[in-house]
Amino acid sequence: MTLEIIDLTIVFHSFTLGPLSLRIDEGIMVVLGPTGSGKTTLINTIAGIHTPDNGKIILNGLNITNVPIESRKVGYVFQHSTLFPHLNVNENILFGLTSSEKQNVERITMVRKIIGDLGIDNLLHRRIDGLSGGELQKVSLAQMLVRKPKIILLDEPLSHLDPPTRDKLRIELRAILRKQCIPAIYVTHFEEDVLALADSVSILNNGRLEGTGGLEQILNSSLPTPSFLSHLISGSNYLTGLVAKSEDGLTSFEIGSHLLYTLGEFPLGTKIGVLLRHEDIILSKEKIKTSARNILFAQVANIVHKSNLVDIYLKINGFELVSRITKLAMKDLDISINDNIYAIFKASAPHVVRKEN
Amino acid sequence: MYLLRSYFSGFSITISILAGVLILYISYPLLGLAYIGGSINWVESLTRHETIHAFLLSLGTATVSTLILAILGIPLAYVLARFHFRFKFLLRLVVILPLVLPPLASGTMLVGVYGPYSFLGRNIPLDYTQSVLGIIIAQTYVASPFMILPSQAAFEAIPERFETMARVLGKRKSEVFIRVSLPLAKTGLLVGLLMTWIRSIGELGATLMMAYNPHTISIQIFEDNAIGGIRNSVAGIVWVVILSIIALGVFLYLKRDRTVGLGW
Repeated sequence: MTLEIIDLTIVFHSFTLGPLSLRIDEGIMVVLGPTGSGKTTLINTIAGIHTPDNGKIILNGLNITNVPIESRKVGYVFQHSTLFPHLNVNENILFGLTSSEKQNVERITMVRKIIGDLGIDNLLHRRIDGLSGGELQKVSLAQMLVRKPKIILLDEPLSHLDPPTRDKLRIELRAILRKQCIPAIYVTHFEEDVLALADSVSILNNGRLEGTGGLEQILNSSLPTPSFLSHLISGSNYLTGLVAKSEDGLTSFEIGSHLLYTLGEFPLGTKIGVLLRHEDIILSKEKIKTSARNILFAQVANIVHKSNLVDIYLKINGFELVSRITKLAMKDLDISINDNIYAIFKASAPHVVRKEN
Repeated sequence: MYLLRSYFSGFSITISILAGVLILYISYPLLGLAYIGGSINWVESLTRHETIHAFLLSLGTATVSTLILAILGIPLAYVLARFHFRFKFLLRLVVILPLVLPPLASGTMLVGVYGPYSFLGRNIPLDYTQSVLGIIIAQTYVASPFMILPSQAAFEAIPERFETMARVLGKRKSEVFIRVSLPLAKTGLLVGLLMTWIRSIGELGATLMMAYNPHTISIQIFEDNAIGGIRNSVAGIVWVVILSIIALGVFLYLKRDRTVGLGW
């Protein structure tokens, strides 16, 4: 399935979105942009809530620009809960199905599977006003998925959740969305959302598309990173590796020939993505005996001064890291380019933001 | 200690006295009714044929008027709440007109357009006045804002995202109205229905002009009082008071128990 947006333009009083063109194949495109950049307008237009002034929206070769909302078969999860308060969870989930679909054995099996996968079996007879933020969004996902949509649109669905729930649901969401094998557009301004969910990223600023591309391509590109994305990921290293061992709440994962440690348990072979803050990496000229689990031998590739702090760019066999230290620490250690050095961080420092089986 | 102090603050005492004065003022006629009631034969008064007939006529016509206003007023309230068009304020003015006009003025205007010498009276000769139809015309006209305004407020209070989501989930606009808008506006609509019904039962001014006969309960009370004073009309008043108390009790119960639906 493919979604194509061609020269789309929408004018709202003094604000203009576009003209912009995008192509999304199966997978998750995260649209990033500050408040008022036109992200929600874009997905509302794809859903049919707004009518574009110009341009086309093509879904699987069919022009759906003027197709009414109810006929588009779009799955949409809004920022605020849109579950109907006069219906219970089960009635909400089945709301979008026709009477014949509700009696179709195959569809009923699919509905049960989705409910099971989301872990909301125990909520079916509950009222909406008694659910937590995380539960509300899971029920919204189920309500959307049971209709077998042709495209999924998500407008910051995790933004109103408390941080622990957000972190947990974010990790689950990628697997849920990828399983559908259809294009999904996810609008957010959270750095972790991008890294946890994106197959591709589009940057929207003031109604204009500033850049688009694959996540890895953008992160690893030698070209200048689009300004908004670089702002979002500045301050952290993003690393991906395969889980080699996981027990007692400690996981080791491989990056090149190195084995790094993080907290949590994941199935062997899982590809995980972690964020590691620049400040969390300490440097030592000598190999020291320490409680920290991660000790890497590195070479200083570059030194960038930033007011009171210094970013030390480290080249490690197979990947790169940035460590942020004080000017005083740099003076004490007498660090220069090409020096050999040890980068040290605790297992609790890398924060798992992405998981792929 | 803090609570006690807050109860006896100057502000609390002043506002309680003012509230108490109004409650006393509203209750005083009822106390008078009870005083007078001590000296009349209640069974004979309450079961008097004219009173019972007038009361039942009011119940019947008010129910029909409320149904007519529900069928026409709820869609109009939805239009006012959800449709966006130029000069909508003119529509709002028209809707509020029966509320601000003195009922006698409304009744006079109605006689002007439904009376025997009016265009309608001459060309489509039905018993528009001095008939049950006349009572219903007067009630629906005067009570219409009581249906439309609370319903409009109820529709406006529903976040539009619920209706949008229902359409995203494949429902046509008519289905969204029936399955989402109406149930979510339920409490406001219920308020509208009850207020319309009670206002229709109590209607006098416009009905006096359109249909003095047959007597509704209000006209019966008016006539009984003219003939024999308050002692003669107390039964009619008591029937209306009992009815209002039951209606408000039912409403408060439904509003309190959120699990009770109206069949939606």
